[in-house]
Amino acid sequence: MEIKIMKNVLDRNQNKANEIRTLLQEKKVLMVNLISSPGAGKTTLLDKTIENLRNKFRIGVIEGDITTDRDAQRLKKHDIPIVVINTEGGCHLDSHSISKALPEFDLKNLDVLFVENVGNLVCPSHFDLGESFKLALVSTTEGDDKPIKYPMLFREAKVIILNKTDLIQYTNFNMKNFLKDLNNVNGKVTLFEVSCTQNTNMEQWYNWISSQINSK
Amino acid sequence: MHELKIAEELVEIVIKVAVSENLKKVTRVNILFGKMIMIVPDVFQFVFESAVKGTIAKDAKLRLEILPVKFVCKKCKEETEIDDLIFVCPYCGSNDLELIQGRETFIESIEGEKKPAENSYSEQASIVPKRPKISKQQRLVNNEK
Repeated sequence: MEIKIMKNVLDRNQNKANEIRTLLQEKKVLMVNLISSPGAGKTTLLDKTIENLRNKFRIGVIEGDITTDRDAQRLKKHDIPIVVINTEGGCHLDSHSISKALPEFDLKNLDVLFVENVGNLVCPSHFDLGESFKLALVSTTEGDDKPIKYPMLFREAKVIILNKTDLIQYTNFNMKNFLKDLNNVNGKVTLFEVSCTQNTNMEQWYNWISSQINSK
Repeated sequence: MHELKIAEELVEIVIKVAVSENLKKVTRVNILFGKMIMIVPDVFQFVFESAVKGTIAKDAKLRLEILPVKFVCKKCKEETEIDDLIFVCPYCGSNDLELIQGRETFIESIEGEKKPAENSYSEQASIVPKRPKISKQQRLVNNEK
């Protein structure tokens, strides 16, 4: 006998994500789900962003890592609330782990919560965390073909940051190909071309994220 | 390896439904995944098999259907199905599109064998002392006699 079910397999994750989204809207907290491959510069981007925005906004961070609190240690100097989630081998964060971390924050006194997902371009894009939007970070040293190879993430992201533009001259990264592929996958997306370590074009990103926080 | 998490969630639903529907065994699980989910069917089969181990779905066959990506152009309202994951309307060139298919992670149905209903004939019959089981070899011996 056949029993019809017709149900989303990821319902449990989705329901919890919806709860989180409602809660954060009530508390007026913007949550950014930061996704990239390992080594693209997620923690460096957060380091610079916090440095620039900490006097304007109340910032919190959730650090998702398979193991260790190394990333959190790098951000400790900013004296902001940081919660580490170790996934113990898991390749992505899910809404249940975020839900357990949220009570650690005083949400009434927070403007923006950055979630640094586990370094991975595939799995994190399938699990809604209840975020306001996804930020995809990609670096020139990874090659110019990432948008077309990982369309789910680049399609779902509201904003994309291309990092390490100062290193293009040492790689075979082709900007024309990158932009063409990105246009095919998500022609409407907002893109910033930056170098976090050299502070190139970072002001544009700070202005954009500030306007997002202000309009939440 | 998002396949693993998806398979675990899937098997949990399968077992829950099978128990509530009084199945003694699940023989088939039918699922529909959108192409954007980027499931590798062989990998999914492998993780599914590990996830059903030791459950009433341990022998279940998996039927996985991949749904192509479809979008509607917000500008010219045309609907398009794509293979190449290029999100540009082929009719008017706009990239202002609404994805209408391709992100699914659906369990469609399960198939299985029902347990005999309670108080049925077979249930009552179990009160009667069972005949000792005879192995194939013993039966042959008996026949020879």
